[in-house]
Amino acid sequence: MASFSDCIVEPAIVRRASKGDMQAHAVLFRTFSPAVYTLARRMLNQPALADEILQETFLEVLGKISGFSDQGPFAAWIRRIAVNKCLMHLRSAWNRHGVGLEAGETAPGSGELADTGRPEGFAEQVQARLDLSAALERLNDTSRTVVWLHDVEGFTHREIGELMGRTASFSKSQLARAHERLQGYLGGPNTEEEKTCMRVLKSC
Amino acid sequence: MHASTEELLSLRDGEAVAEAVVSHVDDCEQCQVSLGRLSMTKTALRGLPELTPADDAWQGVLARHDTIAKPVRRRFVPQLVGLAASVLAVVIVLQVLDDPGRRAVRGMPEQSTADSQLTPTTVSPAATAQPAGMNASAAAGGIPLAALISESQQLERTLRALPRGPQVVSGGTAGTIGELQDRIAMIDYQMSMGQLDGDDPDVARRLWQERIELMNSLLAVRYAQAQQVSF
Repeated sequence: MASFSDCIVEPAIVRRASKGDMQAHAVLFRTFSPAVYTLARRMLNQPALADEILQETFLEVLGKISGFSDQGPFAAWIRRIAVNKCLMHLRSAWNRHGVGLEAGETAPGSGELADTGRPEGFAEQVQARLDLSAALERLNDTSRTVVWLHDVEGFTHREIGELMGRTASFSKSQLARAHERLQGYLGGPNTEEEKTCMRVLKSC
Repeated sequence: MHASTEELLSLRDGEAVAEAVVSHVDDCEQCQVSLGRLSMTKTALRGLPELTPADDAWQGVLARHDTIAKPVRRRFVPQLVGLAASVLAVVIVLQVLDDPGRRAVRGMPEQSTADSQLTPTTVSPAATAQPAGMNASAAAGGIPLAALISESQQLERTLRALPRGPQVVSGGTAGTIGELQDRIAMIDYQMSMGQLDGDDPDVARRLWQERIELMNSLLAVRYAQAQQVSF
């Protein structure tokens, strides 16, 4: 799995890139593009948009790398640019459709399938149980973004709240609801062991 | 009462949780199962396969990067086209002016009254009047002095005929125009001093030739500027 924390680049490459060395730029792209692309695909859920975000992210990286200081990790810098690009797109999409972030605060299961335009057929439900990736895609934009940023990218609730112009509490509640939905899509406690536990613990 | 998902997530992530909740989860297998599932989901999310961009993604970035970098260069294209066109126009004008037959038809060797009245004063006041003693007879070889003066006057008229430049011009263009005008003014000053000191025909001819070259350059810049406005 492509994670920004797994992306290691020599400081000398960053220095060369900051001086306009195109070979160093290409090295940076090879190193970070899978992480950026994966992040964009998971957050935006659309390959074409992920391509766009990937390009925009690296255009900004190339344009601003000369001003990058060695104060912080380079991977975190690129990740922040990519996340902001994704959020900018989501915000514009939210605005276009006249839907705010609150759209993610609908009751669990009340509109998730409608959000993705997928029929709530039994066969699809079963398929989704087998596929975490598909379950993730079925979350609405806000829930999916919070889950990815928190559980995979390691952002804190406070950071997510700031990025979204909300509070840490908003991020916490979004994460909880997202996980409840994910559990629902994935089928809840379905193993025999879990079912037994549930029966035994009914009175818990 | 079971722990909420939010509380379980806080436990999972090592965040602060009320002691009562911790005690409950310790004793509640259902909550422990739920906690385990949340942890497994997190691990599974982190284990989702890497998604790779298209092979030509880098080429796409480079293409857009070039496109962003190009406007600066693109801005010069109309200027270069205009400059080339103006140089061509000036060359044609000069050829026409140098044509003896045409000059004879227009009576250019003589300083016509009409020409004197038409001579502009905006670029260089000194060019409006023929310096004393400087006439066609002053030619001591090469281009006759009167022809040089006439050519300079023609350039003045052509320059005046150009539309007014834009109110906002680039610093570089403004600087070039200013420098050319300063140099023309300096030549005019030298010519007027020559009148006071008694004229040397060779010096006068050299000054007029230099003035014509500067006027040509100024005309080229102004023409390019006019072309840029029309774009």
